[in-house]
Amino acid sequence: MAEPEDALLVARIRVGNKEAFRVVVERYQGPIGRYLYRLVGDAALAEDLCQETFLRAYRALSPPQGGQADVALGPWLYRIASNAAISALRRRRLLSFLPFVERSLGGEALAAPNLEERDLVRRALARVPPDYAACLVLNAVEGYSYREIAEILGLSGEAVRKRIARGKAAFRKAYLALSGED
Amino acid sequence: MVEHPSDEFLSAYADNELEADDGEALARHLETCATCRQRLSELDWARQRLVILRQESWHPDVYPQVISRIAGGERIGWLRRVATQVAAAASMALVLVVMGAAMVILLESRPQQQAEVPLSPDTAKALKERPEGKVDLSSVRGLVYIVDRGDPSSAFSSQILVFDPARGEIVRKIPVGASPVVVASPHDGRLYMSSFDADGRLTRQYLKVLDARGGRELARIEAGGKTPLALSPDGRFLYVLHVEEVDGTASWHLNVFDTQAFQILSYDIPSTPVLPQLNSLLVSPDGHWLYALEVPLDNERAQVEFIDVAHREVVDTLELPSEELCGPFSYTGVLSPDGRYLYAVNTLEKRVVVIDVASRSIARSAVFDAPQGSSGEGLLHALRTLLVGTAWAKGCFPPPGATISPDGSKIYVGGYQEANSLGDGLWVIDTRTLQANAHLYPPASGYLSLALSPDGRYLFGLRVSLRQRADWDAAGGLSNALWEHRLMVIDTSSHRIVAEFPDIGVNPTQIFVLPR
Repeated sequence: MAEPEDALLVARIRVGNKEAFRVVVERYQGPIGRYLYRLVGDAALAEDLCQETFLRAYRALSPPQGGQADVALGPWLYRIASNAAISALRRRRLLSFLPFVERSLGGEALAAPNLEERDLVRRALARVPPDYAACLVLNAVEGYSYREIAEILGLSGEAVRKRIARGKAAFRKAYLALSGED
Repeated sequence: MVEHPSDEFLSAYADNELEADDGEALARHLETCATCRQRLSELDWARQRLVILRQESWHPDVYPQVISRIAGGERIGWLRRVATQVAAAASMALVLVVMGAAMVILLESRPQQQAEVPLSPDTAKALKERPEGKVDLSSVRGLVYIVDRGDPSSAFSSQILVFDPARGEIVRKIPVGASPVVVASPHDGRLYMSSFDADGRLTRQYLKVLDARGGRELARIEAGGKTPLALSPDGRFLYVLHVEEVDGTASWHLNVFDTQAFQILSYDIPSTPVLPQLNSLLVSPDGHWLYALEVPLDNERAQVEFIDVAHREVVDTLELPSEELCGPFSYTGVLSPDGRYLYAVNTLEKRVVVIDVASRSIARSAVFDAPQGSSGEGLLHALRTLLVGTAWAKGCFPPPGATISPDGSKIYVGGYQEANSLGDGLWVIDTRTLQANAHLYPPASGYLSLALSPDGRYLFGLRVSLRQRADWDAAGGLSNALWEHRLMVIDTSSHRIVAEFPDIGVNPTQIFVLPR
């Protein structure tokens, strides 16, 4: 039997159906988790943020009134995840004077090809301001259009365009510095 | 001199995000400009590098942890709450053992047998004398508008139900999209709302204006908002707050909607960013001030922000006392008719705080209790809490409905709603003594929204309760069919329920009364 549509799952969560919530988590934890990992570059932090994302979503949809308005579930979860990640990255920047040991993924992810290049990309992305990085990853990696990113992050189209352009410049600068090419 | 495109423009071109005309013009420019071709190449370079991140094949499994955090509350103050619960439970253990058995039988077998539970004298009297039939409400010179979010399984099925008290029935249904939040204007007989409509795979939020009598949509503007909405006393301006992030800085964004010109004026208001809940939004009678009662990001307190509308700034913030875990979320606010005082009422903690808005300080504060002679209620409440579940384990609920009498002497406020929709009846608070005049307490029912008739004689309340006991954790969760919504009519002089109408809507959330 086909899985229920997102809107139906949201409706069921609103009336307290935990099974529907489980389906939502299992449906979106992969994309959201990977998005978070790409954005924050730290597996443990990404997992924490992934939990936080679904926890916030659950609370927002909790009955009896389902405080959160009707939503397009996917973009909405990306929005929650983005906000959580941006906050976390800002906090991490405040603590950046402390030695920071990145906790990478193990197993399958590490066995993937281009590990060195990916690591460099991830470290360069970590130097991009979080607000820009979120737009950049949503566009270049997750494949969202500028308009969709504007909806997800609650920004104007102009702001998204600006952040992506600045994000690209910042990323290039960081990458070249890390790779010793500049 | 040749004018070169900006980086933003070039970047958007590389991402295929320019309008066709702009794209073609830029392509022509690139044919002849080596500098811009180089810049374009550098901007596109980043995208080419980032694409490698798509190779990540991580498959997190967070459901067990998430569900564990939901079950455990996972909030600061958790231990305090548990300690309180345990202490209360221990002290009452003997009584509870005896009453618990009886209560389990009561809840399992005859959940609607209200007469068998201890009630306050006022409530018992009100229930006893409550008429079986419907009283004559033809003197109510108004129509009742009920916002019904509709069947949760059917998207965009929300509607406004128009209830005629004289006829005792719903006389019209007005479709309004999804998740409407409404404010009614007695000045022009209009309903102003924020609601959603589908637009492809995205959902868009609109401000809409409806002629209440005819049900016709007069205008709509795409605009975000963090509800609730607020209307200026003269009905001229509608205020909608939301949080907007510009260049990495989150700030309040205030949309002021001119209800006559159908135009929106937008202002930025630097303030506390990203609120999890806006409990109440109130406007001073002169329209100069907005009072936002809210829970900030840390979830640890409720506060009132004083917003100077003309100068577009938050001039002060006042923290409200709260000791319970969900206390900050349960505050609801009403303004005295003269606008001097803001009453912040918290029926979870049975607390009322009087704020002098001129000095922006707490003038008085009191903890109220059920009227004398109704001590059984506390016991019953604790028993139900232990038997059926607690709010802290299931998350905090939004504040209940509230309104104030036209002379400012009484505040009507719903009791705090708990898990499984066990509400705490309806409180009538005397604004002079800050104590409860009455507590209408049919068990397991919450008042979601309240509205007075135009002459103030009747209070209309939207009451929700469970038709039978239901277990949140049971397979399938709570079925929508288990919820029952009633329109209650209360005589404001006697505090008696004089009429009630069952089966009002599927998922109603707000109620308003407008003159006919």
